[in-house]
Amino acid sequence: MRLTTRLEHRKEHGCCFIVPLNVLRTYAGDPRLDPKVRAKLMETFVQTGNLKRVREAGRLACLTSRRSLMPTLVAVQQAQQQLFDCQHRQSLPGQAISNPGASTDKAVSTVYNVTGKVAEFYLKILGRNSIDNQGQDLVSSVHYRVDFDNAFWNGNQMVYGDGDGRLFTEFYNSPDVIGHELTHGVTQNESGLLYEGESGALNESISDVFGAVFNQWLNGWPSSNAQGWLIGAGIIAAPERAAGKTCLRDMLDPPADHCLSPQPASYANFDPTADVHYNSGITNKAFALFAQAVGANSWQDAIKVWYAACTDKRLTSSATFKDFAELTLNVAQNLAGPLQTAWTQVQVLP
Amino acid sequence: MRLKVERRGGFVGKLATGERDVGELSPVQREALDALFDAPQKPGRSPGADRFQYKLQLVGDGVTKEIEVPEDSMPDELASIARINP
Repeated sequence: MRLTTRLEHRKEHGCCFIVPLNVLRTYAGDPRLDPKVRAKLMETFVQTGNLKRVREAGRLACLTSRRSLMPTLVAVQQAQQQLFDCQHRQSLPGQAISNPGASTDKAVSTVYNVTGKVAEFYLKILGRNSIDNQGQDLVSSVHYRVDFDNAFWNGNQMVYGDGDGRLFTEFYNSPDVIGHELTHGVTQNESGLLYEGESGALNESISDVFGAVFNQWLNGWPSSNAQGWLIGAGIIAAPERAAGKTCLRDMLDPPADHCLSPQPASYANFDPTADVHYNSGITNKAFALFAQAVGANSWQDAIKVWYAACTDKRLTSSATFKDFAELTLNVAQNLAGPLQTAWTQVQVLP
Repeated sequence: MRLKVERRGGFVGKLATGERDVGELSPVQREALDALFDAPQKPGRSPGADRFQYKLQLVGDGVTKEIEVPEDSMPDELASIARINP
């Protein structure tokens, strides 16, 4: 039983709550500390949070004299959302919002509603309970800094800027962006793909893939609908739209002129010096080709192959495109044929 | 003396650049710049994914001084110098 195993693990390694969770989280995000130390602090933060939940389940089980309640309570823990308003300042998480579902602030209500749908997508389609698969709370901050042209995952939470209005609008305007950022948390909890080189591009591509398929599921778009393969279609500001830019990236056609940030579509054009968001176009295209070859809706079969590979213990943090491609083929079962074709088309596999 | 600011990374993944004469910086910008270059320990990268990473160069009198600054440590006053040129 998973609960027993985890409790035994705590006993072996020891754990106490002498350091408050907020202190662990703060130091885990402190850039002045060594990355290895920060990773350990983050691990302790996550494990301490989990142990607190187990302890609370045990307490309730004792109160009701029903020991069988313990695993049930742990298993059904549901993620709660926490929303914060940075009020255009730099410090995170910002001002807590007590009832985000009832907020009249478009940023708050949109992030709250769409994040809830991402969690629902992961649960209903992939059987995953939140970022850590154990009901971890979903924390988001909006109105970060001034004219901020970015959205990111900081290791603990999602953060959204409002855009500068020249190139980008508010970054929460595209549902796939919210799915993309939350998926970085999932990857952190699974393979922990290193954020550099091929593993970094793979990390980025996985976020684009799950973000796009979430958007397709949300809108009921089949894999044949080209709109469903655009990343950031809702965040392009009016001047760029007028200039013909309809998205940030296009998974089906990465080098297209309508992309504000064109990418390569073949491993032959992989650039080892480029940003991880550039080379991710190669594996993005492989997934889009595969999903279209499988047909119907991407969330029915194709995404489940990607999810199986992303959560497979054989996917290491330093995986290459080829490693990932071979792993997807290993878990694809009866879909291996069209998948092999897709990887061959983008020249990751012969 | 010229200040050159370069920004990489972020969800967008496009290079953003900008430069100013140090003499034209506001007092707040100048103070922030001095604090970054005087910091005894240069910070690494911000944790997580889709984070910005900045490179600041001071160029003049045949000398170039350069530091890397993660998003978390970059003040708004200097961050706004870097812009994407589509």
